[in-house]
Order: sequence, then structure tokens, then C-alpha cells
Amino acid sequence: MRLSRVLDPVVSLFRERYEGKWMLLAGLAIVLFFVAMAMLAPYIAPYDPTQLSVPLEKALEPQPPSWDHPMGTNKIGYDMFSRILYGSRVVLYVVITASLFSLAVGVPLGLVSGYYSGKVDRILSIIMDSIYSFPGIILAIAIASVLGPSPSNAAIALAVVYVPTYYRMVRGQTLKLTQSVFVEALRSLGYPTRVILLRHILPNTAPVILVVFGLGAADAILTEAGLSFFGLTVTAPNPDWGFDLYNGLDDFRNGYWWTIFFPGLAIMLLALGFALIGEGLSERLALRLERE
Amino acid sequence: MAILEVEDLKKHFTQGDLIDRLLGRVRIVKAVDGVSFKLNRGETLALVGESGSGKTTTGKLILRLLEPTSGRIVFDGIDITRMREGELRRLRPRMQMIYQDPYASLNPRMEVGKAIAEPLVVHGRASWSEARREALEMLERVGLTPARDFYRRKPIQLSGGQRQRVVIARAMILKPDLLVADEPVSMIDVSMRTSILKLLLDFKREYNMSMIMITHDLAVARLVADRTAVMYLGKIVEIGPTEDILHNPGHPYTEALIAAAPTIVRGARKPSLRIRGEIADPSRIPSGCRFHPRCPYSDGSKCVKEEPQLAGASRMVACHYPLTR
Amino acid sequence: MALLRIEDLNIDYMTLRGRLRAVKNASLTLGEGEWLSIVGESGSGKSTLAMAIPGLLLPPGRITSGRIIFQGRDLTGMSGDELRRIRGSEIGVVFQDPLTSLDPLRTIGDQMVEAIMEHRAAGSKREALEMASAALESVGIPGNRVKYYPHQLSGGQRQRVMIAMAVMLKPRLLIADEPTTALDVIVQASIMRLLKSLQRKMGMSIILITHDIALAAEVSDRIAVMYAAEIVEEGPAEQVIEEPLHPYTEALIKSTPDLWREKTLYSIPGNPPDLRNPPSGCRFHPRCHKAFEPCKSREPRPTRIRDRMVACHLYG
Repeated sequence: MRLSRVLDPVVSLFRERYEGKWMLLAGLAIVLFFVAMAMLAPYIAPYDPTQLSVPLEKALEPQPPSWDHPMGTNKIGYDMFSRILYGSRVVLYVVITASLFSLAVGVPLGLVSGYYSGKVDRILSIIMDSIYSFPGIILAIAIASVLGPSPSNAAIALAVVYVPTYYRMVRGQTLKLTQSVFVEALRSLGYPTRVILLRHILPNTAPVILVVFGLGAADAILTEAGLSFFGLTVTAPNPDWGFDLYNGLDDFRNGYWWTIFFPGLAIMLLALGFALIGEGLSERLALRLERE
Repeated sequence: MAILEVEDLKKHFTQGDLIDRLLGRVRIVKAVDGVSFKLNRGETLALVGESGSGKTTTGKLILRLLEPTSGRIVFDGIDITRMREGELRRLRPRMQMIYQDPYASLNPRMEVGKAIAEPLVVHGRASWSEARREALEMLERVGLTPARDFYRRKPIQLSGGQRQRVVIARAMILKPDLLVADEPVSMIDVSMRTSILKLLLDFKREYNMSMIMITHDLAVARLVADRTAVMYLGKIVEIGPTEDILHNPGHPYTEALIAAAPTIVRGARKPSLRIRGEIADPSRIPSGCRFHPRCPYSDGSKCVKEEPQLAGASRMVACHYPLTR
Repeated sequence: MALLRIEDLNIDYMTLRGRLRAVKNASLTLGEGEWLSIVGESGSGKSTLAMAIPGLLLPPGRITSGRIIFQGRDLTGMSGDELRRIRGSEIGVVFQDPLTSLDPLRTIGDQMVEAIMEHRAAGSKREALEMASAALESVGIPGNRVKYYPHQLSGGQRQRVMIAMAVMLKPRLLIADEPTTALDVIVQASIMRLLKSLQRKMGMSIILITHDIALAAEVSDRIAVMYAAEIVEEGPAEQVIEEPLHPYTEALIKSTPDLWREKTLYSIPGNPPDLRNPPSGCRFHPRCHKAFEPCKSREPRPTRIRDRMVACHLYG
């Protein structure tokens, strides 16, 4: 009975017919692929990502992809495939921590702001709008450079950038629901505000929050790559896609495409995965609204 | 004894956004403009009028779902006009509301059984398992059987009439003393209306509940209401025993409402009165008698200048030239 | 000769959960200048039937068999373009909610002129505008209101505008789908009077769709009653109301609150059936107090009794 409650939505996902279904499934497949990669990295990585993987004489110059090094090596002789595998751990850690943190701050603030409107709402909206009006990457760089380079600090920087996204969506939904007849009916039943917000309004915003989570995470991956690019997520020689992208720039000019191609591809694919989840969910949501 | 006393109740909204304010176009909408009546225990009063008459606003003011601009609302001897929301919350279970659109008044994502049970838990009257049992009984009671099957449905899986039964069950599980029903059957097929009204009447009898039935349909008022108040542009223009008003309307507007009600009786002796135009914008209430621009009996002078007051004893009419004498 | 003849019409909706027959074996005849009201509960198929006539069925609805003969031509075989030419010029349509059928950003005159030019009913825009303002006058709205935007009119006036647009090209048939459901009683009464006078003046036929049998009783020449996708009774309004043949019609009349009758709290027991899984035999039998043996197993066939039709085992 309990189990079926958890499983039913998953099963219905595959049963339902709607436009965005393939997007959602493809997105889930991509993201799960990277999650599996991150978890299995120690078992499948052929080399230590921060150790020489080739004889010293070959380490002076990047080695092209081969059977031993499916993604080649970089200019200091590290195995790119191993670096991509371990790099996914950093990216996923930063992006998921940041998204959960933005959600944990943005959702409650959005609920309160939308329900009470008035002064609280105005002050919160001004703060959130001023954060939102900054270009995300610049704000993230500013915060991260103050805090210093580390994955956790990068996560904090990203979290601040994406709080307003959650806030704005949840506030809008809450505002709409607060003015709806069903919430007025709950007030007439004498429900305390806490119950109305947590048991009735929040569950009705949940689908939207999921959509924002998907699209927000996709965006955050690109911003994270930007932070790494400027060396604000990890320090050398630790593996990170954005950081490797930066390190590979010179190689590309010298004709070594693989040190930049594979990190770039990984960033793009993972961002695409999250974006597809977000889009797929929003299609599904639109369909459900239409039915209702 | 009166369960509810309403004295000179007013609700004025200011209408207009920033642009309107800058251009000095702000308008005062007098949705409710001085309504007074008493409702006795176990009595049903119908508030009848067209949209824009202020009947729904009056209903919401009574339950303090809107803040009154002025006037007094006394519920069971307690003045609730300015009571704080926290205190009011404890009174709310005793006064319930049913809305016109049953689908809009239910949480679309919640099982209807749970929606019925929840008020008991929220008010600490029962645990979830007890509330569930009571909700099942209630579903049975409102004719949604098998109750176990209906308990688990979502609002979208029910018909309009069934949803309204759920809404009624949710309000009735708290055994209220006062029910405000806002057009509870106007979105339901004519053929199903009486069954919903009958259900309300049954509960009313059982709980010795008082009821305010807000409706635009005199035929509905006739089926349920002991007394009827006819509203026009924020005011009561006529109030009295329902049958009396229907047989012998005192206000020309009441007569017009009666004349407009469709009937299947061929050759029914309907009043032949037909009135002009439509109800005025409540931000531009006509001078004198607010009905005068549409009234075929307007004398063009007194009716235009002087506002008639509700006069009479058990039967009151606000008209300079009432049809009954 | 009849203006409109519907013969054995079947309309299906293909839904995700399977096929649903929204109109089953419907046959109707409408004479010139006649007012026919189709009465039924929501989900009875009355709107679907009426919308199929001018080709306004929304997908996934589809006519699966039957014919709709209008002025001697079968509308079911016509292309979208041909139907569009007929709509507006020969068949006018009025919907429940006038606000959704008017463009809020353009004046009503503009929208009327467009419709007139579309049908090449006027030589110039100026002539078209004159036609539009005359049409407004004919429904009791001052002609200079052509310059108004929809939001500047009240609900009742907007419905009058919709009626003006529907009748300005002098159609032979007007289909009105619950035209007064969103309006107040007094406005409803005036709209019904307007339709009645237009019918008389223009010699036009009207099909009114309504769930309110009392409303139909006051204005109609004929009434058809639909239940669960089928026409169960049809005949002259006076006879259908005063001596209903079908037990459903009888129950419908009895359950309608009415100021001029004995006060009763009668309601039809039970609920309308699920059309995906209709009851066997007569679809009304589970709710019928006169049901007997054959009702459960055999579908009643339409029986003609003089000028009337009824589908019930009580009558042959």
C-alpha cells in the first residue's frame, strides 16, 4: 500500500501518453548515466586522475585517444577518461547541493511572500529581484572569489544565484492559489495558516518546483563550468570539467582537440539531461492542467 | 433567539491600479451599502438578486472572509465585526460556507475523503483514524456510495453534483450552527438541483442549523427559505416571508424577478412587468432610489431625489410607491 | 419542405480510454421558421449534436455515420471551406459565453465588418459598417456602439452583439447553445424575447440547446429530449410538456423547480450513466420507476405516435 503510493506515479509516467514523454525519459536516462558514472568512478577509472598515466617521455605532449586512453591524455600526462569520470562527481555534488539549497531557501520564502503579500512580500521581492537582475555568472564569480576556491564554496555561490528562481515561481503560484476559492474555503473552515500553506498550497506548487529544479540545474551546470573555468571550484591538479576545459584551451590551438572536446561534451550532455527533465515535466504539467 | 444580527453592514472597495490613481480615476465600488437583518436559530433566509447586487459579498462579510468597511456583525451574541483572525478561527467551525463552484472549492490534488476528514483533525476534534471513519459515514450520508470507493477519488473523478455533495459533507462534518450557501446549485443541472437542496434541508433540520441561501433563482429560494431578502445594488429592497413575497411582491424589482422566472405552466399568471436595461455599475449608484432608472413606475421626481428606506414590520419594502398596500 | 433533416446521426469521441458514443442514432426534422429546443442534462450529447450541424465538432469528435440534410444538401460530406461559407451566411451560431467568442482587442464593429466582408455580403467596408450598425439596432443596441470594445459592454449586451453577428447575414437557421446560462434571470428573459421576435420577423428557424426545460417550454414550437446520447422523445412543445410520454421527460419536468407549480422536492434518483459503459437495454431503466422486464435487455425503438416520437417500451 505504502510502496504502491511511491511506485504509482513512476509507473503512470511510463503509461501516460503525452508530447514531452520522450524528453523526460531521455533526460532521466542521461542524468542517471552520469550519476552512475560518478558513483562507479573508483571502479571503472583505469588510472588515478591526478597521477601520470603514461611513461614520462610521452607526458610532454597530449596523447590522442587510443585503446589505453579512450579520451587521450592531457599535456601533463593525466588520463582524460579518468578525469571525466571523477570530474562528474565534483559537478554533480556542486550542482545538486546548490539546487537543494536554493530550493530550501527559495520555496519557503516564496510561500510566505505569496500568502501574506503586503510589506513582507514587497521587501522580499525587492531583495530577490536585485539578486535576479545580476547576470548569474558574474554574481557567482564574485561570491566564489570572496569565499575562495572549493566545491562547497562554489555550491554556496550557485545557491545564492538560483534562490530567486525558486522564490519567484513559488511566490507566483502561491499568490494565485491564495486568491483561489479553495484556499478561501479552507480559511472559512478555520484552518490555521501553517496547515493551509504546508498541506494544501505547497503540494500544489510541487510540480512547478520540479520543473524549476530540472531547468535550474541545467543552467547551474553551465554556471558551474564557468566558475571552474576561472579556477573557482577546484585547484590543480584536481579533476573538474570546466577546469579541464580551461586547461585545454592552449592545446586546442596547437591541434590537440581531445583535451577540450570531451569535457565540453560532458558539460553539454549533463546540462541537456537536466533541461530535458525540466521540459518534459513542464509538458506533463501542462497536459494535466488541460485535463483539469 | 437570533443566531445572527447584521446592522448597517457596508463594504466599499476602491478600484483602480497605480495608473488609475495617478490619473485620478479611482472609483469606490459600493458592493454592500447598508444591509441589516436578523436571522433566527433554525431559520433560512434567502438573499436573492442579480450579479452585482452584493449578495455574495454580504455572505462573505458575515463570515468575515472579507473585512467590512463599517457596520456590525453579531454571531450568537458575540460581536465579530473586528475580531482578530486567531480568535475567529475558533468560531469558524460553527459557521460554514458552501461555494457556487464545487470544483474550485476543493484542493484538486487531495482525495475527497481526506478533504472531508481533515477539518476534524485540524480542529483537534478527532484523530486521523476517527476522522476517516466519520468521513466515510458522511460520504454515505450525502449519497456517495460505496463510501470506501469515493473516499479515495480525486475531485476530477466526480461529476458536478457529486463534488457539491463532497463540499457539503466537508462543511457539515463540523456540525455548524450557521451555513452560508452561495449559489450552491447554479452550476448544477436543473434536474439535480432539488436533490442537493433536499440534502441541505435534511442537515439543517438535524443540526437545527440556520442557513443563508444566496441565489439568483427565486424558485430555489422558494424551496428552502422561510424568509427572503431581495437585494439590489448593495441594499435590501424587500424582505419578508418567502411565500408572501412571491404571491404579493411589494417592490417593482421583486415583481420583475418573478416575471422573468421561466415556467413550464402554460398560461401561468405571470406579472407582465418588464424592466429596462441592466443593473448599474456599483461604482456609479443612481441617485434617489437606486432602482429608478429601470423602474417603470418611477415618478421622475421623488424617486430620483429621495432614497426610500425599508419600511414595514414583518414585511419590509424600500419603495416610495410599494405595490402592496 | 423541411429546412433541416438529421438522419440516423452517430457521433463518436475517440478518447485515451476508448471510444465514446456522444450521439446515437439521432433523427430530427426542423421545418422553416420553426423553433426546436433540445433539452437534456450535461453530458447528454445535446451540444455535440447541435455543433455537428454547422461542422463545429471539435476533435476528437467525429461523425461516424448518418446524414445532415440542410436545404437539400448533405452537410456531412462538405469540405471545411464549404461549411465556413454556410456558417454565418446560412446558419448562425451563438455560444454560451460571449466573452470568449469576441476578440477583446478590436471593436465590435471591426469584427462584424470582417465577418461581412468574409462572406462578400457588402461591396465596401463602409457599406459593411452600415450593415453592422443596422444589425446592432435590430437587437436593441444603439448602432453607434460599433465603436465599442467588448469590455465596454455588459454581459447581456455582449450576448446581443453575438446574436447580431449571427443573424446579420439573414441565416435560415440559428443555433443557440445555452445562450443565457451565464446571464441573470432578467437579462435571460429579455434575450429569449429578442430571439423569439427575430424568429418571427425573419422567418428564421432556431435550435436552442438548454438544460432548463422550463425555458424551452416558454418559447419552443417543438422540444426534443436527450438522455445519454439518445433522443428519447420529440414532439410539439405543448404536448411534450403537458403529457410527456417518456418517463424521463416526465421526471425532468417534475424535478424542475418552478414558481407557478406546487412546491415539491422531487429529484430523479441516481446519476446519469457513464457513456463509456452505458446500461444495457433502455439507458434510462436503472433510474426509471416504470421499468419492466424488456427495459433491461432490449433497446427501445423509436415509435411514432401521430406528430410525436418516443423511444420507450411502454409504447410498442
